[in-house]
Amino acid sequence: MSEQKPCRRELLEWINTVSFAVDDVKLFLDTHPCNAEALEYFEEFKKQRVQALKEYAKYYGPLTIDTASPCEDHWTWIHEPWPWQKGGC
Amino acid sequence: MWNYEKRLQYPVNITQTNPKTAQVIISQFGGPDGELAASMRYLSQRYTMPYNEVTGILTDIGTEELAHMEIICAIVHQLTRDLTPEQIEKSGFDKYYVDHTLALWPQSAGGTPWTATYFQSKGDPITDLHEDMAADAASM
Amino acid sequence: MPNFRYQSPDYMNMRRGNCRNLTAPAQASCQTSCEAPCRDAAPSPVCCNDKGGYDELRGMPLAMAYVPWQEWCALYEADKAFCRGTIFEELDKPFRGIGGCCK
Repeated sequence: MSEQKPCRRELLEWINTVSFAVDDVKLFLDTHPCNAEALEYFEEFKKQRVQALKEYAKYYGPLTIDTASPCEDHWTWIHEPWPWQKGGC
Repeated sequence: MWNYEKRLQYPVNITQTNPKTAQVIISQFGGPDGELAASMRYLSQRYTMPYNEVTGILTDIGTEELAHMEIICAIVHQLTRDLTPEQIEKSGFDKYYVDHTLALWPQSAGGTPWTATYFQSKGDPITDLHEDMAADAASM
Repeated sequence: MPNFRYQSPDYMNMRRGNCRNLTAPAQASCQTSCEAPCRDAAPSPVCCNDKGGYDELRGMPLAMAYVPWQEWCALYEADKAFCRGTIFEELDKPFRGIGGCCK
């Protein structure tokens, strides 16, 4: 079964979207640590984010140190453009 | 401690340079109501908060403000990318350029270097939280 | 949307909200010279933010600032949240320029 390479821009947009949801619910949970709905929301979006980051790293290089793969023969962390550069995010 | 994620929290793609705008926007980086001041305020105050909830939220907001600072820096960088000497002189950006060239340096639009006097961290939780509310309102 | 200037009479009247005591009191003000002591005159309150008897913070200690407690409600879809800068509709407060408005 061949995997289709996801569109880089779209995948990055998705990462931005789900990561933002995680960022905002994280702040809510800081002051409402027992809110069940917020906890559920966090779990769901965290799951999406982890999955998306892993997929992005597989095709386009790591966005986080945790998704930097030790199997590569070179240090890909520095190779893709930085966020403020052309082609970055 | 902090990790870094190699993306901006919100994308910045500026294709047209504009040093005049950059001169103003830089205040959101190193000015009194800028993101660096915001970040340092929260990250400094969190040590003396009596509740985990508050320490937590100050830590997380302070971290997010660093991400916002990065967005502002990306904007200024892209507004000034590859400027010619003529463009620099004509726009009034030459006063910044002479000391920093195209590098990012935290200052206000008027040229005042960033300073810790832009925030306060007093150790009294109510005082500090009032400082935070005032600062957030000011930045808007 | 009207752009209110903070110190205009219209703005101040609106802030006070149909306050009955806006006009000057009929009895003589104690600021003018008067032979009789003014203590007999009924105090005429200057109307300040008369809420008509209902105050959400009634009974709370004075000289303190209060912040309402946020509830989990009115969430945006993730795409819209990213564009608006918040997942909470209640916290979506766009910048409207100078003047401000009463909401």
